[in-house]
Amino acid sequence: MKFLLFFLLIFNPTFVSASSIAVYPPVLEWQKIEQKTVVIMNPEKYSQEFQISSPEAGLFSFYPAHGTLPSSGSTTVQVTPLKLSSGVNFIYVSTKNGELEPSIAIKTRMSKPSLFTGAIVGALSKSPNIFFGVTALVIIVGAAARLIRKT
Amino acid sequence: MKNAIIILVLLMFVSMAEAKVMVTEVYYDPLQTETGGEAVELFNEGEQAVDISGWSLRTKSSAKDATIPDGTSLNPLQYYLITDAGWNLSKDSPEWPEADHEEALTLTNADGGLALVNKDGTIMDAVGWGSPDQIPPELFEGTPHAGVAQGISLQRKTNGTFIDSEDNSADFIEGAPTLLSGIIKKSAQTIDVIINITNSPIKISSAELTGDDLNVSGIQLLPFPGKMRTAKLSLKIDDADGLNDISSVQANFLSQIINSTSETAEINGSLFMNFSVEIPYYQIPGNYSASITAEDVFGAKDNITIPFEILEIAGISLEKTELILKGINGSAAASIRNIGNGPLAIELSSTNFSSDETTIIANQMAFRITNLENGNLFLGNLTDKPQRTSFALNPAAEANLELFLNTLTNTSRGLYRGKVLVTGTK
Repeated sequence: MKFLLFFLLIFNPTFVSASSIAVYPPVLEWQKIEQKTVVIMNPEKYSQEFQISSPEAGLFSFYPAHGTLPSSGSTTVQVTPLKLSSGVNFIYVSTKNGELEPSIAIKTRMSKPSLFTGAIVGALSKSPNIFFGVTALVIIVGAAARLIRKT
Repeated sequence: MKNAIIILVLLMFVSMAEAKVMVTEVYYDPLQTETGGEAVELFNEGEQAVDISGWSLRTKSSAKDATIPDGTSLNPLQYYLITDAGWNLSKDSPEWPEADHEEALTLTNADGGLALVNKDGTIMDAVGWGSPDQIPPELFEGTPHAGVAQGISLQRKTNGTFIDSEDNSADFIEGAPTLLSGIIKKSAQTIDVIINITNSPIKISSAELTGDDLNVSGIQLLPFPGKMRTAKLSLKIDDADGLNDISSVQANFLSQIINSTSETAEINGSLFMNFSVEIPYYQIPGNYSASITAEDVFGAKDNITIPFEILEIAGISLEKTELILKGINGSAAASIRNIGNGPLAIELSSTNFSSDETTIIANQMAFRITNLENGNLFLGNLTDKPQRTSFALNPAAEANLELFLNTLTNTSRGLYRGKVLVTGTK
């Protein structure tokens, strides 16, 4: 059947007239795997549900990944990359009020250190990478020594 | 005859020089002991050295209570201290100087006096204290000083040079002993400095900007998205001559000039003030400083600055959370506002729109975004992946989002629901 008229309805069962969300910071950068804090702010005079996610699965962990923003208040979310991969990715923070939703994309940049840099950083830091760092440093120094002997 | 005139002139000069040696302090009633604790300070205010060999102190008890030894000369602007015998052991303060000459002195504590007599028996100076009826007339000048309490000395007044008006009551004051010996008073050419303190400087002793948002050094402030944020400047102001002459306290914060505040309290002589300051949500991120100036009615000022940082936030606001489109020619609109303090690019994405029976795919929904700040337009069809539009929305700027159905006319009747995500990204 062909109908000339139809109704399209985008509706929200818990009616909210407007919706807003804000975040700090708008850009996150990592050079090593560490936890960073994102502040999610709710300027509205009512509480809002929020969620934070990344389109690329397995790249970040969020704690909490969703929750309630107090009215005219804020909450913090801990974001930790699960692996370091060079390039730009986005983290999306959105409300869950209705069918027309505002969201903010946090731009993330990661710079994956080279093996040598990682070794130095790992060896010199007290991070969990120290074992990797020291091992890599030993391998590099050993390889260099062999190369010198051959020549 | 000629030689006699020369000798006469020379004698006149000697006489003038001698006249400048005077008694400048008398300590006649020591705290600890009368034997060994008394002292008389002499001073040569002349421009030439004076031979004071054989000069003596005449007191009530003795015509020559103490005699200055032979070979003693007093240089210009030099002090000479004559004390009771045993001074070094008996003086009231171990920090007082040693005597230039020690000899048993007998200075009466009441109605006493002394005269400084030169080798020829001429009285060069005299200081008396107490009742003039009870003091031999050669032991005081004019009217004797009224006298001082135990542990206090009689001291000749000075206004750069010692005053000698031949009247002890006018020339001497009482004070804690300042006895000097053998010291040459420096600065033969003195400059009188008169300091008339009519106002003390105003001082902002502390200033604090409250509301720091990050647990790192310095003050970092997050704007409140879409609204003004209020912060507080707290000051403490001190003024040694009192707070009544403070005429103005002004705060300059992000170009806001605040001249007065109702939050003022005076506690323990300090003025405590609070200024409410506002941070617009669109304030450009960066480093700033608040400046506070306090001024009194005499024009004395103090200024203090507080550095702080405005952090960048990204925020977006939608006027509506639902849009209803009626019919195939239906459209609906909602405004989008940048409620952060940096430019935002707008991304759109959508789900498909489904009814119980069928689905309208996302790209059959057209959109038009109009930047209300500059009139720029962006047209397109929704997709199920984030789609960045070509314009940035500046802080506080608004855009209008319109949705249009762009579907085939044979679409089935029904209620279709879907979700549209409007994303702001830096």
